[in-house]
Amino acid sequence: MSELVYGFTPAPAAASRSRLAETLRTDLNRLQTETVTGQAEDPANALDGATAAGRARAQRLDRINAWQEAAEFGEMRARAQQDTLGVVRDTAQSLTDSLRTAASVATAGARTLAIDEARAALEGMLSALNQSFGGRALFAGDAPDAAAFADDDAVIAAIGTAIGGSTDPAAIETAVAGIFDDPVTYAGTVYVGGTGSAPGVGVDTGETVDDAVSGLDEGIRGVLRETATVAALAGSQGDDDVLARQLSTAADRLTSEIARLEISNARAGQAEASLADAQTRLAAERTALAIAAAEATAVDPFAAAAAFNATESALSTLFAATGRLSQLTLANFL
Amino acid sequence: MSISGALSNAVSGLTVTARRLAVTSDNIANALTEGYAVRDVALEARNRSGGVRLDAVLRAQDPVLTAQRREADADANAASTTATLAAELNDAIGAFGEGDRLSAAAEAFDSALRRLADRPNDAILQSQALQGARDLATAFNDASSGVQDVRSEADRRIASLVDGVNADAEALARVNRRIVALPADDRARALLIDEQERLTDRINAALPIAAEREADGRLTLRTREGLLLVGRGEPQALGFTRATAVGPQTTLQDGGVSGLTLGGRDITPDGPSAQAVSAGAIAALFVVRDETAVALNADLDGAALDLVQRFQDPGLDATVTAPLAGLFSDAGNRPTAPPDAGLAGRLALPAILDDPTAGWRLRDGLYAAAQGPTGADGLLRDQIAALAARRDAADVAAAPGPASLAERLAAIAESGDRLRLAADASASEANARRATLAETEGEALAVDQDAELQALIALEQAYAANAQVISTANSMLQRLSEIV
Repeated sequence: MSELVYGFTPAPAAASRSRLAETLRTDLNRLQTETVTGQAEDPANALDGATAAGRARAQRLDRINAWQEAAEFGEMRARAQQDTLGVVRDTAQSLTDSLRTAASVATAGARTLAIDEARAALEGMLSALNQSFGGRALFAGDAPDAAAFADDDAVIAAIGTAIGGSTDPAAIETAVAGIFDDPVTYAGTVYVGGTGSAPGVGVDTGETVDDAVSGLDEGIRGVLRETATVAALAGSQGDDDVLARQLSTAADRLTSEIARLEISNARAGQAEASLADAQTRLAAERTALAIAAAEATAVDPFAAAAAFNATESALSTLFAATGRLSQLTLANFL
Repeated sequence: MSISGALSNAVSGLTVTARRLAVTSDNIANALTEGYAVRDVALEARNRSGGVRLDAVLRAQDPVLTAQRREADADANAASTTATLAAELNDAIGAFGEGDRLSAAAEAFDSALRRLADRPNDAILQSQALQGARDLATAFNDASSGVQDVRSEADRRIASLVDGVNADAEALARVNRRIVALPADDRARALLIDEQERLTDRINAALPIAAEREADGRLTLRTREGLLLVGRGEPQALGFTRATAVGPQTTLQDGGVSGLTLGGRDITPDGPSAQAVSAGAIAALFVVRDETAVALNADLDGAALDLVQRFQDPGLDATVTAPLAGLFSDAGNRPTAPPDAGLAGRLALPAILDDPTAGWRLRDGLYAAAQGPTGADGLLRDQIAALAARRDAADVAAAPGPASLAERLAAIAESGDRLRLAADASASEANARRATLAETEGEALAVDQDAELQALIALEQAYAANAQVISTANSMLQRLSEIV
């Protein structure tokens, strides 16, 4: 029963002073800590036990940190999507210029070069669209583990199969359109990503910024279709004027699809902007919450310092009094 | 008066002074001895022969003050015991700002799910989310285990105090027998009274008693509720059996932990007996073991059940159908309704998630036959929503109304914080009152060295005066001898 306290106090005056000194020392240690840190030594006590709100603040801060991290990553991903779509757009624009030039000049060689450029452009576009960011394909929807598109050789091979050896430019165009315009055929031949939406980015309770761009987008599909159509003309035969007109028409259609691609790009930009806004909002909330959390358990450092000095003074006085009183005994006098 | 009478008187004065000197020196030597009450001597004039004689050595006492201080002792020990164990309970479920493990684990799991929902194909994030769920279950287990440890510690302390009270009661009975055999003026009597008072104080600190001194010097102790502890015969023994193991399902009601008896009569604190102990350290330990900790554990169990139910709803994950357990299970099984006490201690992930690469099941369904689209985030976001959903949990006294899991755990943790702070405040107040009364009693009973030194001066003067009388009488006798 050693932990129990009991009985009257021998030498009560000295014990009383000792108890006072112990209390003052405890106060002094607490005030020293609070003066240095500016925070209550026992935060639960500073909140009178009402700690649930403090815990809610801490949880919200943790979530904000997670949301900020996700938003930052999502913003970079949206930027990467825009960069990729920019590459596709620039490639398509360059091809458009080449097609117009090839259509306007009188040499068959220029047209052949344009068709070869379309083949290279298709390869470049597919390669760009198959890029990953952070271990996730950029345009593969809900199947981010694998590339979003088949490679250009597979696409050209599929087109070749669809053409079935035809050399008629119109037939080739129809065959390519058959692959790209039918969603089922497109999704099985060119686009090999997921058909569901890519995971969004959570930025608040119940608030998600969608990853809105995938290889199924009309703009991407249209640009690829027109590029593939021109590339497929490599095996066409017929009147050069017809081919020239066809290239000119392809250039017009490609220009139109580039405009639709810009819509996809804009959606990615919108997502990036939303994520940037979310980060700004979250950063502001985090700052406000951190301030609120600190203030809830804060100690006025000036008041704490003043109390520290007062307590130190009281302790010194008590020590002095103890010293003087210890001399004031009859034994000493005698 | 004859010269020889004067000599006789002076010798009696010297004798008494010598005895008083012995008492004073005894007082000074024991000035710092715990429980030593100052002694004084009662003198009496000798009527027929003249002179003085020592009537008795008196031990200082103040029964009213002592009774008040003993009451304060019992209250202070009860409050300190409660405060110590309340702090341990607070730590077990997570003190605010100091490793709040349960709330932190819930938040970590929530954050891991959120990260995974943003990148559902990421195997590392899958693994982290799975580990987060496992850590949350472990945090519940640890909190429950911590609460049971406190109950076990309370049980151990009760056994220790009961042993102590029984030993002290035996010792007091022995002192009673010795004091009855001593004559009233025997100096050893005061020493025995000191021992009686010390033993009584120690017993009272654990089990508040009322002490009554009999004319023959015996001290009779009764509990505050009136049951005899130490009387004329052998003392009544406190009965208590320490539990071999204390778990959530070991309760006083089902006999898993022991009650308290005195001489075979039930005096279990808060029990049905009219003589149930109502104060003191033992009663405080019973309250912690059988009420406070049990209530806290019930809250943990309620929160654990709330968590289990959030994740075994087929509306959340269509692959989780009865009798299959959800993400959180009762030791691997779907819990029965209502589950046995101690669910928090048995909370675990189902065996299907033992495989560390099974994190994809969080995304595609716990019992899905095969992986689905690797980028699907629907189920994950539904799980996050399930954690945040505000639902009732009638079993959680700290937060029975609509609350998210985080809010519910925060409310339980807050109840732990409030418990500790209230216990600290009570202990602080009770200890201050005890110290004040102990010091006040000390002023009345303890040795005052200044007073003893003053007494020494007086004794020195008395001794000199008596010696002078002897010297004078001696001179007178010599003078008479010379004349004769």
